[in-house]
Amino acid sequence: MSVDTEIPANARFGSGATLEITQIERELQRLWKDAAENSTKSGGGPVVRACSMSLVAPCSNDLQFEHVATVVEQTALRQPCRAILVKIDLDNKKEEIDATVSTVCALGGPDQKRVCHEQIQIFAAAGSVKSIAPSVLALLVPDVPAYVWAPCEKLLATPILPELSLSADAILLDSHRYSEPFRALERANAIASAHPANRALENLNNAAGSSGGFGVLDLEWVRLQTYFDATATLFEQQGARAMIHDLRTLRIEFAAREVTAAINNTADAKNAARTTSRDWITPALYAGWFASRLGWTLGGERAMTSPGLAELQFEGAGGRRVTLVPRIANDRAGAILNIEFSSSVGRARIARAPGAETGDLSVEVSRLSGPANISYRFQTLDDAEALSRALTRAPRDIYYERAMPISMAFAPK
Amino acid sequence: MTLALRDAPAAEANPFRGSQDGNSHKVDACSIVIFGASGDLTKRKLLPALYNLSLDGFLPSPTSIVGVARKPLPDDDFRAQMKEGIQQFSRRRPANEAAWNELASRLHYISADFSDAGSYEKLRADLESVEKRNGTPPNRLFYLAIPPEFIAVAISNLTKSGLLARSNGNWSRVIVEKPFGIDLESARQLNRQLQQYATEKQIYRIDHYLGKETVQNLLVFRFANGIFEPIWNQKYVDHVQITVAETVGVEGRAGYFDKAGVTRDIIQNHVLQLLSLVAMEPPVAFDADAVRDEKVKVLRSLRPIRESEVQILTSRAQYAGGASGGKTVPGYLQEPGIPPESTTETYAAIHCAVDNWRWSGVPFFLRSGKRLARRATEIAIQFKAPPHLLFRGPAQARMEPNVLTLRIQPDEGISIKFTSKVPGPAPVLQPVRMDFLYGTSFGVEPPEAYERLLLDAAAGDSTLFTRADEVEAAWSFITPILDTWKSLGIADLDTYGSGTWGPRSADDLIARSGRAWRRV
Repeated sequence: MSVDTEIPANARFGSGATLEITQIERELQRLWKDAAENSTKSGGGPVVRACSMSLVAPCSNDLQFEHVATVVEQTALRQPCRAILVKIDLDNKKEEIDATVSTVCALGGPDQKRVCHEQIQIFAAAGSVKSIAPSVLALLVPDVPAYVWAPCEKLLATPILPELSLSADAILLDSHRYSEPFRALERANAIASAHPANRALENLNNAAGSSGGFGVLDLEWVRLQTYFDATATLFEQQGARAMIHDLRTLRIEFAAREVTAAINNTADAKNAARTTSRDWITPALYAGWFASRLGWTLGGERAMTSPGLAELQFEGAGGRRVTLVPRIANDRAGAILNIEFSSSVGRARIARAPGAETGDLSVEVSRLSGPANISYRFQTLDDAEALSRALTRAPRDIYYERAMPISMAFAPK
Repeated sequence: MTLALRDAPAAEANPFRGSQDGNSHKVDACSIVIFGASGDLTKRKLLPALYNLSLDGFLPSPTSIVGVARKPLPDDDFRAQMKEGIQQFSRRRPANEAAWNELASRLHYISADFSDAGSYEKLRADLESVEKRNGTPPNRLFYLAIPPEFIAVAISNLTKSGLLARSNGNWSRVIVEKPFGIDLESARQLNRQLQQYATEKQIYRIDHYLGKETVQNLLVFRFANGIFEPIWNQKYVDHVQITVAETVGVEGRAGYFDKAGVTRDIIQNHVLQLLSLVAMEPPVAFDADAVRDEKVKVLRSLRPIRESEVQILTSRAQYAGGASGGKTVPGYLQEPGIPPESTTETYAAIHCAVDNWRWSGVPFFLRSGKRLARRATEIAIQFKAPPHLLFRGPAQARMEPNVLTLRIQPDEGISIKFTSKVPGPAPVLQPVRMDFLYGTSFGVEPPEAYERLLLDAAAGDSTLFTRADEVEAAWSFITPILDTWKSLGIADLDTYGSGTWGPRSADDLIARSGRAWRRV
């Protein structure tokens, strides 16, 4: 994708502690008109305005803000949206808020068609945080869903995210990118539980279910989809399906890099787990998914069976358990490397070498003559792809919500 | 969280399948076996489609792809040819090396003569060996990209060799390319032959138009929105125009086209499929049989055109020489390979009536032709004028009817034309058009029709494939027209200039109802 036209407004729309919402709307209309005229003059064809959602992304530092702006631009190419980027200067206690607007047009797809989206950037000092949510609410596009993406972990601990979430359909997290992912998920889940839309559903005692409500979407969960598919494929191999309801243990080996020393330091294993919280979230999400898909229920607390290993026991005959094992490897921290499934009739395995895109799915069932082995290509999604895919999901994902209690049980104590 | 949740789908055989990821599609690993692997379709469409599916992670890893053709060819040579096809024709190119290498490792070639029963034993053994090597379960999807005269014999041989047999929860399906016969009788005969060896549920008759994004969106547009369906009937719709226009001539397909003509090639299948989707009643469910039940009802509701009406309700013509796309082009009869006495139509227009409660009195005008002014496929629903014209002065002369246009190619999208006031003190009216274009709204390229259809066939979803009774109902309507044209010889055969919008007789056809063709 290349951005070929960006028409920023020269004007700014702050007035002390408030934003001039009407002027922002008016400026956006003018920008669309300019974009259309410029495009026609340059023979580029008409500019079409389409919008399927509002995407709100609050941030608290320059570096993150730049990254977020880039990801949003790429995502808007797939999901036509009004992007509202909010940069909050947490160190500035003044009551100041300002905004700029722009229409960003990019050439996308093999035909290099112009796809435009409108972007509003709000800059707020910590002293005017209370003005952010009402301003964003006034700027949301009517009648289409609104999503709040929380790329900056720091803001999860502030009231701004719950406030922004009040008028949204879902909050998007990227747990893998947070230093305290379990805590972040806990906060996001709390926001969802307290959200009026979900409380209303609860009050209705809507046992039959409704697709409505406010949800939590984790980009890391979206990235894990390829492992979910690999697991499904594995259990479609000859003999493997018979193992499913007899599965007893699951062992997930994942990559650890920066925390190598801490993990291997047997004397400080408990501390090691705490410091590597970020690395544990991916295998924990997978473990939650796996166990909840089989209907396993927790039978005990997280335990460190040996230094660096985390294990959960589940109810049921035969001692069902899931173990997460970090391994020093040159791969993304937390990336899943090997998953071993064992039952009384055989074993199955998903194996991927560190850094490799492809891996092997293998099954060894005692009554079969030999092991079955197939190769599998794992999909890697960049941030924009993961965000875009998350935005195509229903705000509430029942599989995610069912997995959550198990995944959260792996949180380092 | 303890929140009210929609319950999970019914328990599946594999509890790990299924997600709320809109991008995932449940497909069993299988062998996709392409008969006619040396043909153009395989290289231009099928392999690029399979490559893109693989790239997007839609094809389970142990899926094997096997090309079958008569000529002996080492696997590596076949792979090289297919890679060239992907480099040339894939919507995403150049090929991603890692993705291609992974796909290529599961791509094989088997030499077999599909008309020779003896070849199938070897095919079976070779296929089993490929499946064993790749860990592919014995689910098989046979794609018959072969001349129509060989379809029945190929299916018969597949059955006799046990390759179409299903066992232990595994499946075998067969995709058949059009034409499904050349008239009603031949279509019935082909259906009988196919159903003698395979069940209807195993047969997937492919019409690639149905895999196009806008065609699928037609159902979503109609049945997922509450505002259109109430006005989608004879009370509000004045008429419907369906246009499939091409700028190209016969382009190396002279032999085939001169036997078929545009009515068999385009109208009997693509255009009538579009008509049935526009006119169908809401299905009871979005599943293959429910959707196709409603489509076939529409086709059966088409009022037959009697012999005496053919010259009034239809138009046919051949293109003459002229200019197309800035180039001088020959007339149809001057095209290489076309007999000078050919009466095959390169353009056809039909005025149809759908005799049911919803569409009574609403004409459907269908047209398709080669060497027309523009390449365009679209459905236009023109609405009736308001019951009382409030704005009658000369300044309001430009009040035009509302038109809803569903554009299928190029620039897939939907537009609505409505009347608006021109800014100023006087009530001057002007038509404006509101456009929704896939290409400029969603930056991602929609998948090719073959991607969607191959994936659906592998997933066992035949909603977008044509059922036997649909094919026969379509031929029931078209065959009497073709028979009458044949008996008329050149009596009603018009001509039109290349690069125009068709013959005068087609303009007359629609003018007789007080309407005109839209400028597409």
